[in-house]
Amino acid sequence: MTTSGPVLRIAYLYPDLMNLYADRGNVTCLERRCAWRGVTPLVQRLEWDDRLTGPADLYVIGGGQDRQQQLASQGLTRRNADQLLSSLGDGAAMLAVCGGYQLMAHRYRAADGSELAGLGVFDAETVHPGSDVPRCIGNVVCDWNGSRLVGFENHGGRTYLGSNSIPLARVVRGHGNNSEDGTEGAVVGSAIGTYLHGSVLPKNPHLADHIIRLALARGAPDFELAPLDDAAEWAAHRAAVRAAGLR
Amino acid sequence: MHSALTVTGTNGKTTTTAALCALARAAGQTVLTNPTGSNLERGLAAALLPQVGWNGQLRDAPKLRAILELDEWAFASLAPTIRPRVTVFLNLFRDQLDRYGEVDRTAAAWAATIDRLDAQASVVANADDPAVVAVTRHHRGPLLFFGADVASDSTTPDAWADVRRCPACDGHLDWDRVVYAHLGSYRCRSCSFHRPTPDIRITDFRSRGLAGSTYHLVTPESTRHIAVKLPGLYNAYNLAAAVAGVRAAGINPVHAKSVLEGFEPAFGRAETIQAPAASIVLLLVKNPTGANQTLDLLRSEPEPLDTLLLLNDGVADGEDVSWIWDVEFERLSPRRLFVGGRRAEDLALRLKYAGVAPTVDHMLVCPGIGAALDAALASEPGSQSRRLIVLTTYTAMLDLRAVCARRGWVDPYWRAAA
Ligand SMILES: [Zn+2]
Repeated sequence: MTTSGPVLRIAYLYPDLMNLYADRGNVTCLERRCAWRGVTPLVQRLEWDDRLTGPADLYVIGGGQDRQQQLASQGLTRRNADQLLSSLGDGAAMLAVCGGYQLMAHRYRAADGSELAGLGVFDAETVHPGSDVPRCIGNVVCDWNGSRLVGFENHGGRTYLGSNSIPLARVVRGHGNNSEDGTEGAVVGSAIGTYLHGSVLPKNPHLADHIIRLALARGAPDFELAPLDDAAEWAAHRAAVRAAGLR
Repeated sequence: MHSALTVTGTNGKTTTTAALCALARAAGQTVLTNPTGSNLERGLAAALLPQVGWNGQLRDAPKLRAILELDEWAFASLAPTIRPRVTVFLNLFRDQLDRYGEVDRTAAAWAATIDRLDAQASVVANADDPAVVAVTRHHRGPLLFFGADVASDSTTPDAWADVRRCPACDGHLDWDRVVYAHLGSYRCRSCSFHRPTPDIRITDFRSRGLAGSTYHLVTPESTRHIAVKLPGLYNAYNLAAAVAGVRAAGINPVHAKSVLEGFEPAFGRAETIQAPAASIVLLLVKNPTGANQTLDLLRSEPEPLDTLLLLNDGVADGEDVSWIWDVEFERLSPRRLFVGGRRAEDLALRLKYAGVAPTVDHMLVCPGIGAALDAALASEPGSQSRRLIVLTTYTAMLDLRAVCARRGWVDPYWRAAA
């Protein structure tokens, strides 16, 4: 394997708090798909007391429970928001899943009416309609840039996009952002937010590579990602489509 | 207050309940229980119906003792009605989040239910699980702890563990040792929360792989060396919980050593089915902690094993298969590997990213369980008395048993369970 390829710096935010639905599979996937192409992934796993050591090319955050999400929010705002936001302003990429996606929007209004301030990366806000309203749970299939994304969603909050976010994808089966407007996830610059678990990247290899390209866009814009044998990835993708009741 | 014992927690309910029943029967009690992992209301009704008299009252047997397995949510809804004399809390791990919801919600429901127990009701709790200790610490009645004093090099909870910070105050938890997941010995830096000293302890634990384990079972009165057929430290916790449970119920555990040493694995928990070409060892897995414990067990076997992994996404398995990304399949080093079930392709992909697939001669991905079993059993030259290890989710295990029953290798499970 060549070692002359670029380095990709991944800041993995709060894996100790925000890994409820095994979203760490996304980081495993990114690490492998980089290494298979001679890109060297350097992962900083940020715990609650930690500070970001410097700018990263890619920020990854998963989903958590309410209390853990509050702790993550504190850790971000007290220690890491400035570094994170300036880095994103410089064009760094982000993958924020579920609770992490909610935290990266303007605010989260909980079932009891209390509000949790987010970082405002995405022009969006999330409202929890109350614990007596059913959660959005199930297999999801959506349209993304002429292809499909698959995953599993499990969220109580409903997210509504403002005019400065565009949806990541359009829901074909499932709830997506709010089960009303057919949108799923959000995109601002090189930052992507989504409700999809699964983990989402392994069985959507086109999205995984899209994110790797976004993250390499500044440091190694001319680096070509060699094609991989993704037969196993697409087989799992198709199994998820079938699980959602589609063909 | 009634005389019932209830068992709840994420992992080990069926085994612990069966061990409690064996200990109670050895003490001369007539036991009413809900069989074979059917721990929801339906299983309860099935267990109770034969005991109901013509007038709808429970037949009044003088020494009738109900010993019931309740899942995390059934405990919250049924315990106020059952009014158990003893409740055993085994552990709290993430499990089928699409079905049971988040771990913090379960903990909150347990705490609210414990508040409604009778003041004299006994609670038996796992001292090594901070989530369990946190919910049971406000119980005003008798409280009995069990735990494991075993060496461990780890002082950090595993990546999929559900407790990272103090459940009482969100402060920093320091760990002297982590046994697995978030179980171990811990103390909060900011408040008084810490591991209580267990009344019933496992010491000198030695794994004999799938064949079982040996350890010392320490009670306030005695230290007994026992050699059990149940494999793994997780089962040592289950048996310690059962010993603590009968003690809390005031049942004299006569012949406890021989009862525990003779105790056979429960349905699908390291149970062996004899097929013409191989012994099939069934290991039920349903969540990351259980699966990782099972993988550790396989790693302690002297030789690499032929392994069949089955993943279904039925309601009883959890429709969300994300959890396999919290299972450390990196620990798996099988001789040959086969993958089946309705989400076989997801599992194969996980194995690819774990780096397992390229190291084995043969990986067959096959959603049909009969076909996957045939492939795994297909004879190899020179492989006579071999074992096939099957790690399987719940409905896939039922499917597999149905295939085995059609071939005459096993009784249909409702007869085996009777
Ligand atoms: Zn504390």
